[in-house]
Amino acid sequence: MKPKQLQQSRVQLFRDAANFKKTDRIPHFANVVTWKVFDAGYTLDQAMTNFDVLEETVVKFLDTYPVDGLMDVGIRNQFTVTEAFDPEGYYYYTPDVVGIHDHAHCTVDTLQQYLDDPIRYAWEVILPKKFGDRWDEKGLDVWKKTFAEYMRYTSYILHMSGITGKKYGLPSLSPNNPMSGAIVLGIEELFSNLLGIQQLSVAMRRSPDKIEEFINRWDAERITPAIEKIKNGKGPNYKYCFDSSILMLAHNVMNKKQFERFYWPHMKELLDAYAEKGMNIRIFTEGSVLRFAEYFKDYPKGTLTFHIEQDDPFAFREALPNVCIMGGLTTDLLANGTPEECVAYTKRLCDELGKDGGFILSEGKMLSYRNDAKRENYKAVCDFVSSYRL
Amino acid sequence: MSKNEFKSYPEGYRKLMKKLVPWYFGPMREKMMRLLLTILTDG
Amino acid sequence: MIDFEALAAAMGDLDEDTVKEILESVDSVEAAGKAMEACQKGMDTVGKLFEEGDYFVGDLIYAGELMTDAVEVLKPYLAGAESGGPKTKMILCTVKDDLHDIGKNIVRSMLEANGFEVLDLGIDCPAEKVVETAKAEGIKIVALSGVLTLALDSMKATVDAIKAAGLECKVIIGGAPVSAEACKNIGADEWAHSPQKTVATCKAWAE
Repeated sequence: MKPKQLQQSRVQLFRDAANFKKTDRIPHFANVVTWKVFDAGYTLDQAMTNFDVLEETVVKFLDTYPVDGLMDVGIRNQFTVTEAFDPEGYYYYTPDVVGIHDHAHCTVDTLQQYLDDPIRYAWEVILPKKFGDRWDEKGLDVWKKTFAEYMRYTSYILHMSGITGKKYGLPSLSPNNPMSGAIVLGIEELFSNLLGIQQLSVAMRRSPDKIEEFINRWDAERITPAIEKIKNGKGPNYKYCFDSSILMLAHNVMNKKQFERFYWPHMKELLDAYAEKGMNIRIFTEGSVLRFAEYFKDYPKGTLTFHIEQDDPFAFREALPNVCIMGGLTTDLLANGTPEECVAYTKRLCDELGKDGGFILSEGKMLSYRNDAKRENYKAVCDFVSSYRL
Repeated sequence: MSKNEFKSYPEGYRKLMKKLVPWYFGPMREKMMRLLLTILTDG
Repeated sequence: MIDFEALAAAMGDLDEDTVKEILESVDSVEAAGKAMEACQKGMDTVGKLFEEGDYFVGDLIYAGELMTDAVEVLKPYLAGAESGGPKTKMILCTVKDDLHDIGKNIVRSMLEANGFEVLDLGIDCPAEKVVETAKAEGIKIVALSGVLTLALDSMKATVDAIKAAGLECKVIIGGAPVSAEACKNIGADEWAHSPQKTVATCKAWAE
């Protein structure tokens, strides 16, 4: 099959699986991030600042492992851009680790100021705070160098989407990307960027009204227009495997009352809009979502796909038989099992969860570090699932 | 003496934007700057 | 007359205003000791409500803040006065190459509320530092925390170093990536996903 046809057939395969249609095989979406760097014989510090090396790691991965989709083609961490701007960096490297020092951008009392003008807030508050005295040193030369890296980074994205699509026939997962405006719920923005886990947890108790006020305004300005667009749109977009992808992380700190107040009403409005248009949405989760299963049980098959991390996939199917599962493979097994054990478990996942659709094989945790999987295990799983016929 | 002549907002920010993205106008230019800021603020 | 029962209940309810109000009326070493006990009792309630599913992680974070604030208020009275007998000293840290501290901090506040003296060695903590501290302080219990799967390697390195140094320490590992399987591979004595289990295990080891 030519890459273009392969790409289209994979879109169909993902869509059919998400829609609980019987497929002849189970699609495999590789939730692989930086593990492929080690697998290609590099260390993270060698790869993360060098686009040629990053490209090589992706190509080697796709040449070795027959997967239907790939989480990251080396574009997830924009190290070269941030490095160009500030060589002292807020990343830390060792050969095996790259990371980011976390900064909450707001306090509960500056949330409205942020909403008033996010760019102004970034300019006047976040960046000066982040770079301290060094902010004063950022002259035109530094900005130009940074912008040049940023351009190199965007060209790399385009280049890689060309390679993965045109050479390997990998489909695009969903239309959301930063340029076209990914949909992020207000509570998720608070959790991941604006307040962080610690402040949000305290604020939900200490200043719940301020949290609610922020979320309501965020949603009025960002989610409501997105919902209008969905409602007035044409419905499913068959260029993509999913019509949308959203993150669900903030539930990990919430009790049920908090979920009902700060999360669910806003998420429900969005999910309902997709459901009404017959569109499918992929919800990428971390931690466990089974505590909140009851909220999702009435959506028709074909609407929701959960990319699960810590929940047991079999328990998940029992609790939510209407939801397509993406996931199933654990790092425990991939790192410590034998190829035979990995294949046996993969077969069980396919047979029990996917024989009537509703299952996409993936890794629950992003494969990131050297020991997250043994090469022979991962290879055995990929070879098995790509050739196994239901 | 600060080297950062773009510290003020919106004046400094706009001045920088025109210098960095001279070949686009309007929303596209702003979008590109916005994404750059997102990267620099780890968004 | 200070209502210590009400203080314990308020702490359990995570009712910050009432906790603060009652703590403000503490004015003696004796009252501070009782207030501390009441707060610890309240933290037990928090732990139980967490186990029963009424509270979740964010509530534990908030409870940790309340407890830290309470200790701050009571410290001037408690300094120098020994309350509750000798405490078991133990080590807690996030292991090397992992910078996550929220889980560790939750566990620390729960352990302290249960009478442990926790030597918090911070984040990104190398195995050698754990071994050195355990030797110097005569530590018998070590709790290792981590969020990244990479932390499992560092946990193993730490357990190996403890064994190589001939130290008789019990080690519990905790955090998202740990499991029974991981515990076995690492050679730790126990593993936990919840602070409650960590506390219960450490208490059993301390006896």
